[in-house]
Amino acid sequence: MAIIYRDKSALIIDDFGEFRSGVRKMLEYYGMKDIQTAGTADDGVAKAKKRAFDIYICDYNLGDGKDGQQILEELRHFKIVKHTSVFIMVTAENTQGMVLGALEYQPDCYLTKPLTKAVLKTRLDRMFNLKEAIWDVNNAIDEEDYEEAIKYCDENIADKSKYMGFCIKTKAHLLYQTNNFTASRDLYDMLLEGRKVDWAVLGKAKSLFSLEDYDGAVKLFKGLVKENEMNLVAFDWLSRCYEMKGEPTEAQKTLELAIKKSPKAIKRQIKLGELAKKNNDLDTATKAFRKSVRLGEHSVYRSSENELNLAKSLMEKAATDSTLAGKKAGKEALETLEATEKKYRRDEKVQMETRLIAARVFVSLERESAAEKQLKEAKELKEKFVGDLEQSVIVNMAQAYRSLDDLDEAASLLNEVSHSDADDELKADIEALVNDPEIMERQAELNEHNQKGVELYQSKETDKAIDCFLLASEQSPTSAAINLNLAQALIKRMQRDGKTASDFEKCMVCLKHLESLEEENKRYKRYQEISKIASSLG
Amino acid sequence: MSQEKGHLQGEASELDFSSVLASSVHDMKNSIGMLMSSLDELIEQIPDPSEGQNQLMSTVQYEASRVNNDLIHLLSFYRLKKNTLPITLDEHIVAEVLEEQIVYNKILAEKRGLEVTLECDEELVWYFDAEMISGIVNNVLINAIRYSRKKICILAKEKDGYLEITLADDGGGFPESMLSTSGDCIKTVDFSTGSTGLGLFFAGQIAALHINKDRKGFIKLRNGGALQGGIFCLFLP
Repeated sequence: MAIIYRDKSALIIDDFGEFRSGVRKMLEYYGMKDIQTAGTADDGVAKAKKRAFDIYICDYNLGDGKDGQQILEELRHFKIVKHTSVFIMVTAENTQGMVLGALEYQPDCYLTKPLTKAVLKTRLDRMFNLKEAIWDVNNAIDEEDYEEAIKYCDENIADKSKYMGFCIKTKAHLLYQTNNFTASRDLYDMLLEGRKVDWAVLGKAKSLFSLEDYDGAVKLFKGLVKENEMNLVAFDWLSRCYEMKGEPTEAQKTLELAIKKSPKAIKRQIKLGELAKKNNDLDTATKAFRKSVRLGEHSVYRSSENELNLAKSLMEKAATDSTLAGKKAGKEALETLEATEKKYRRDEKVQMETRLIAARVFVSLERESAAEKQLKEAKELKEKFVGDLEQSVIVNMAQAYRSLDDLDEAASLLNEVSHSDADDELKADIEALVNDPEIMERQAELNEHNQKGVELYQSKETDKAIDCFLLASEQSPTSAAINLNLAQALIKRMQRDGKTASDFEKCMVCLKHLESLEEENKRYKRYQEISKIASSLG
Repeated sequence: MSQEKGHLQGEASELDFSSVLASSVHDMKNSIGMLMSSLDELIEQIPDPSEGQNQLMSTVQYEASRVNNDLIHLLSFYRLKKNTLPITLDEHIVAEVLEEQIVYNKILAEKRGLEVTLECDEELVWYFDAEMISGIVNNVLINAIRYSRKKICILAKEKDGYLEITLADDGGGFPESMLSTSGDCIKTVDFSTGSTGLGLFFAGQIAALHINKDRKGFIKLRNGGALQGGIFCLFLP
């Protein structure tokens, strides 16, 4: 079918002026008039956002900043490039396409430089012939009506046209995207029976992952990386499998292999940082987050999260390493935080978080007054803060107060925190605070039931006091203060009414919780006295 | 280009002669690419060139293509050695891939007064690495353009579970020494005879990377046929 180019539009993105004008001339030769060019990635994205084009010709190597793949990701992510239009990625050498071939966002085709007028034309003809033959499918995808798109795929498959293979591939991908993992797995399986193709193996493995068959997925991903050590997407998935299988060290190792091959991928660097942090490998985490900050500058993934993650891992290093390396980490953390505060001046949440991290860095550097100042500012921001504060920020604040030994603030902040929608990392942070013996004590002191029990006990209403202490101990079963109060009140009642099995048993449970109390503890003496009386009752 | 530099900096510890060479080759390939497309443009802008001009232009074009192919071979060899030359199998419309290579060399063929024909079912689809196979076809085609008299015929069809791509010319045919070791060109790389042997060596290597179940791809060289010249055959399972 002859394609008419007269009414088509195009956007050319390349940092090479000669290339841009060369391609423009080629397109003009085909009869096109509506052609725009961009010499930088940012300009290209801006022009693409303004209006739709029929053809996008984008160079992969764009000098510093975003590369062609990042442009494609951004444009596809925000659904700016329609599936009915043609996106051509121009690479300098033919192997780049292979390296990029497994990525989630794909151009319609890769073309290797040099481009000639005739080659570009045949390739465009080819693409438009395909696009026109399966216009229904792509249009439905653009409208996010995936069921309809699958239906059109089926029609094309039934017709057994030369685009049948393309439609099967698209259908399998759509099934996976719409969470029909059993169906996508079966379709990939069927394809693989005929011939082993990498993308089908990848598709099947991803389906298995979603079906929680991690061992099956690992086997396939491992095969893919063995055959093509540049299949970085397979490395990423393999790492995720290990994580799900509860093997975080293996997951980190796998990701590090992929990063060695391609250090420029920001998402992977962030993921490595998170994994390394989980594995308590602070140096690796710091390195990865540092890279993510640098790479993030030009990417859609530019986010204060990158800076904050870096500052946090540096802060942890400063807190746990008392050598010069720790001090250096602390210094870098403060520099990072200062830059972050400037960069995200208008973001109050960021302003709070930087101060909370800075406070803890100052504590590690033994600069308490500076720490207090940061924390005070953070608290003021918190009071002004409109909208819901994330749990993690409150937990960070509690951690900062804890590091300054301000137990009252830490304990009262913890009362604002709920475990319900916390992720694993946050849960671990909350647990650590909740199980902190000193905070636990302060929480007990702040516990209303406990306070009321003390008042009742003092006004000799022992029975009512016991009820209060029982309620308090339900809330903080391991608190030394509450256990002591409860034990003491129970003994009082037994001294008054005589020993009962139930009271005595409750008393013993309380004392059991206190067994680990150390001699230096200010409550140790009281504990000893109470247990002496208790054993005399027994 | 800037990416390539960054790559070298990033792995400075692994900097060795072959990496430097690969990087330079990559750079040269970019330049030759610009050179070739500028040349195409230049040729079009010359109205009614004389016979002598035509001759010269086709020589420049042919030599540029040869240098480009040589550079591609060098890069491929580097990757083959570093084991980073993976095959990306996907389904392609055979006629489209072959047509593209004919178009790619159209001006060169025209300048030499050659007719290149394609015989292939429009609906024929096959699984192969399009970039790699295009590279092989391009290399063989350029070579054929250099040595044929009037006609080159490319033919593709399915036969016994293989895709068979045949490129026949009416030139003098392959030398006897090459025919005897067909399909195993690795031993015939003779640097005194230019790049032909090296090109065929890679063709064989890349064909062999195409595997379907227990069958491997391969190449074969013959002389004769309808055009009474050299015949290059590529079989892909």
